[in-house]
Amino acid sequence: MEAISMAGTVMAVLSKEGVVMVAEKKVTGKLLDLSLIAGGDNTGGEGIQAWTGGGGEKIFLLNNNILAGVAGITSDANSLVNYARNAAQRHLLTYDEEIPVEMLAKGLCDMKQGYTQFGGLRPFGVSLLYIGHDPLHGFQLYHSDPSGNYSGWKATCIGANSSNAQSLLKQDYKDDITLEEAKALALKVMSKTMDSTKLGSEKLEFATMTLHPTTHDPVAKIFRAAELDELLRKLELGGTADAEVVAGTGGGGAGDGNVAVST
Amino acid sequence: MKSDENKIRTLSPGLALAFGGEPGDTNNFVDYVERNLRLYQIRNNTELLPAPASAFIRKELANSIRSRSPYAVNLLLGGYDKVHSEAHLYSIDLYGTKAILPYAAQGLGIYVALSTMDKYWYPEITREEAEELLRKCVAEVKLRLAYQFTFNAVVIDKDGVKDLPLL
Repeated sequence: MEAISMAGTVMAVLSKEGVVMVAEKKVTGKLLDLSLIAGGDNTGGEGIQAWTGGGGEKIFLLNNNILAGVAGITSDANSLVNYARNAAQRHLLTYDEEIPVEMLAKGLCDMKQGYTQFGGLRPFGVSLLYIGHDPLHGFQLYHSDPSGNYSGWKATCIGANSSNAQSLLKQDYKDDITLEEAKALALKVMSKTMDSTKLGSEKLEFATMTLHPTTHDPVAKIFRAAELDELLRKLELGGTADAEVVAGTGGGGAGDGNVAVST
Repeated sequence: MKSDENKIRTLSPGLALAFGGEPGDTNNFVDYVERNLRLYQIRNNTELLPAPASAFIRKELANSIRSRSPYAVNLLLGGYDKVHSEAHLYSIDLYGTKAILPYAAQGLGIYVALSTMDKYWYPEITREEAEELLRKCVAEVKLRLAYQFTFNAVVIDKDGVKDLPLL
């Protein structure tokens, strides 16, 4: 639990049109070699590309219809993500349908609970947020903690400063919120929660789960750095990396979006 | 051979399974499927819908045919999907072949029944017309086959599985 309260914040907001998730990256810095992480320099993507593009440090695609954000011990989280992907594929093989969101959350919690009960083993030091869609209950958001409890939410938050963020979400959340408003709300609350004043793609991960306009299948989108910076500029929450401002290129305009990726 | 056995089992409020094949195998296999669907409902607080149920049953038969003691069971699975508001019909054979069909038949009278439905079925058929077509098939089978079976039928809709009088 201690590791989780120190971990980077992960936040998710539910709307009728889709679910939004935003996460604070902790492992950043000029010397970190981004080309060595899964997905390479240009992580992210939409639909099938969200698989090949890979996630980053904190947001993972568990199945075509489910994304997860993790807070806690990263190595434990990787193990849980692997288990979840296995469980989702097992369900697909047996039932020829995407696993319902609650079933996957419950499956992970059953395992997490087991590790709190049997001697000699250490529990998984991870809290997760799951966002997803299934035909049974539509868009959903769940939270699970290391003890194996899980619960459904309209908007919630885990990690550092999560109680502050939670009360901000409670103030500003409306039941008829649109997807665009949900994106803005999540990023606005995130900007108030984080230490740094300016948000940028080098400190954030961002993902959405929506429905395809024609096929009505769930579409996961992990935002690429340039896409996230563009969104942040639109919301006037930052979007240009600090280094660029110092360099004095006069950046910050829409055309300069891609340069921000480099730090 | 028993001529008046009920060979249709209600698996859940929206699902019914008709079965034919080796006598002991049929009841054992359908019992097994019924209990497993019930277990799924208890564990997950939701009924398995017709499409995933058909995938599960097909997989069980596909595994069975590759085992030391395979089940010799042919099935017709009918169901109503309350989430998508659709009716479903599947034909599953003992080799683990699944077909999604608008009409299907199995057993001794298969060719008589299928020919009748080939002639009278059309895509916009209503429920009343489909019930009438089923009666037509039964009459045709009784007329053309030497062995006189008795028949029973069910209708599956959003309200569940109910017996359908054939006469």
